[in-house]
Amino acid sequence: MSGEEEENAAELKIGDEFLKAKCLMNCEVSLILEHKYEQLQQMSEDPMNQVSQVFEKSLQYVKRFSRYKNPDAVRQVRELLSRYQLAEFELCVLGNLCPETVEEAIAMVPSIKSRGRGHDDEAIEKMLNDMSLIKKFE
Amino acid sequence: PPHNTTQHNLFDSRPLSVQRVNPSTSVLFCWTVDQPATSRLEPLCPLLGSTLAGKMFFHIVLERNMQLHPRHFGRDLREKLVSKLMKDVEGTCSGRHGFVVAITGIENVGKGLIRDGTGFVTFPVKYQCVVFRPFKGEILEAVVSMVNKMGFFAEAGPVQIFVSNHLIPDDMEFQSGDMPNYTTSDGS
Repeated sequence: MSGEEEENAAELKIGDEFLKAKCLMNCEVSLILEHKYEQLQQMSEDPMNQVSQVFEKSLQYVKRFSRYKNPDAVRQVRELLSRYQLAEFELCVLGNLCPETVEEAIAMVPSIKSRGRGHDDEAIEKMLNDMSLIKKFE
Repeated sequence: PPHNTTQHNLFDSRPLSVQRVNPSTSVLFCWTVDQPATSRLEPLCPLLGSTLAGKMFFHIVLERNMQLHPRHFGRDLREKLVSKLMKDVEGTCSGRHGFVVAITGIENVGKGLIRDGTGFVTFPVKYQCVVFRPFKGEILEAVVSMVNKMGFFAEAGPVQIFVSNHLIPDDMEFQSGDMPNYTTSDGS
């Protein structure tokens, strides 16, 4: 148990690697893993044997929970959300869960409203509308 | 107490919930172990401030010392190093980094150091990878895989989750049958 306490995020003792890490949305992970899977398919006939269970399960999981399938759409979502001053994790939550209303968005990511970053309701609503437009035309 | 509130929100509030827990439905989970840590996360850590975060996948750079036997030295040295790295590291799980799902690229292979006495050479390799690393207090989606009267099992990517019936709100009852499930008393 003492080993786990070292990594307790609540106590801020997370590995240094994570402080500089980039958060990935499920749709981005899906593209990465599918690409890797295709590469393996080209190199051998039976890629399923070569990948670990972790890889398989993660691929299934992100495929199921990605909101955007098209690579262009995924890129557009990342670009769109990067324009608003969001922290990495906020961006990923919004990209993963795709809230439809401002109330939902604030419930999912309460910190977008706080800290006086000028994210008023109108700005949030515009952001959500743009996200759903990308989904519509993907 | 905060612990119960968090668990309760999981099943009560919309949109972050599902009222019926069937096999293969998806459930939004609050990843608590023994402490809620939810209210404490926000002021302490700006990076992880939001507790309602589905942010488990990260792209990080890790380093590993790879040992190679001299018989591998030659033109394919780097390829052999990389494939050994992939075999050794992909699919593993550590407390610090979580599950290494896939290696996406090699950043750097440092100078090899010959080990005294054995002839093996150690290369420090820096590589980028996708990891699945949930943190305490996070909320993530999982797929229910099995339901029985002890509780239910769910999977979130490579992680297996078990929710015992002690942690399931009292107003959800176990229904056995062809498709065992937990249902709230209003039948939803």
